[in-house]
Amino acid sequence: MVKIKFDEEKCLKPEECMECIRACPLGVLMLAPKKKPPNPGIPPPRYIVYPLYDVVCNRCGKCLEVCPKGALKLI
Amino acid sequence: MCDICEKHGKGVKWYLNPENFDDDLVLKDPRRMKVVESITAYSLEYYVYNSSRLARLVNMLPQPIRAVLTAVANKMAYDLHAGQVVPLEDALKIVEIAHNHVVIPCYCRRLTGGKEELTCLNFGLVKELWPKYRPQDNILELDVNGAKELLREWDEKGYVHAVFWAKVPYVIAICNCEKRYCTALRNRLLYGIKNSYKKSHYVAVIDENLCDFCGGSPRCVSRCQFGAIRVDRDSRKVAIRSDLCFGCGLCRDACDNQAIRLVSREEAGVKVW
Repeated sequence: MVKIKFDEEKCLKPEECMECIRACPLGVLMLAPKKKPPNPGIPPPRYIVYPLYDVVCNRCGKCLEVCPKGALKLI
Repeated sequence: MCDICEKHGKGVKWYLNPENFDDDLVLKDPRRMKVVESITAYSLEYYVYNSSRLARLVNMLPQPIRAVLTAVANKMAYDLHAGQVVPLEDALKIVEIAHNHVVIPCYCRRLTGGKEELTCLNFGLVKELWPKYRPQDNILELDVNGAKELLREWDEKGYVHAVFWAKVPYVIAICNCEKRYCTALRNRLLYGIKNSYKKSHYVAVIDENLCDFCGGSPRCVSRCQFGAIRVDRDSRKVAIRSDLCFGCGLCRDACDNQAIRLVSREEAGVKVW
């Protein structure tokens, strides 16, 4: 299976970018809150990109092409 | 009749039983309150992510442990937040029984790169909880007629309706979605969590004598999000695979010749839910 690696240190605000998530023709990637917010009513403080449906990834590489930070890798 | 109706239908479909819309079901059941809080007060983003991530991780395990844990996840879906497909006519009946209609942004679309869209039609306690905990979100309060109008609009656009529970049988929302963005549906199709997006009580059947093949490109085909409609170009015939059909009725609504109708799963003898 294709492994999609996301470098959290290179991509700090995926929620403001969304390029890789939108570019994926198969909808593999998802914006995900890193942790559950500590209290009700508070938005998640930190987001990551999560390869939720990587079972359908066909290594087309569009996500790598559009990432402005080079934060994604296909293994 | 599906398994939820048998327990909570009282002679009708579970989502048409007015008792299942009673907010006391939440207020008097701490476990259900926790589910409602986790999707409103805390973080729907986290909820969607966490439940879907679990489905993905279970799917990576070898058999037979994968099958065992998938069964557990399917059971868990009933105690959490998931739903069942309904055709437009049932969705319209649901909004008649429901109270406190409010539309909130679709979080699946938001998280999976879709356009920000107000397509998540909620009922009951959500109307009060959402603005309280998520004042930053654009929401729309509606009356019954407004909700019906929106449902018809979504149907036109080709969005599948699904009635969602917050711990069975409390009816909390009607989701209106597309396969590309719907995590509940994709968790079913890709990870086998059937109860995250149950099939409706119906299947679509086609009367070949009434189908005129729409002059070469049948409209019903592109309306189906489940790949259940097959076209045979040589014989100019359209066939619906009942094992793949979710019974949403979108193909029927697009047919000008009324060649497609919905029949109950019992009547059609289709036991795949």
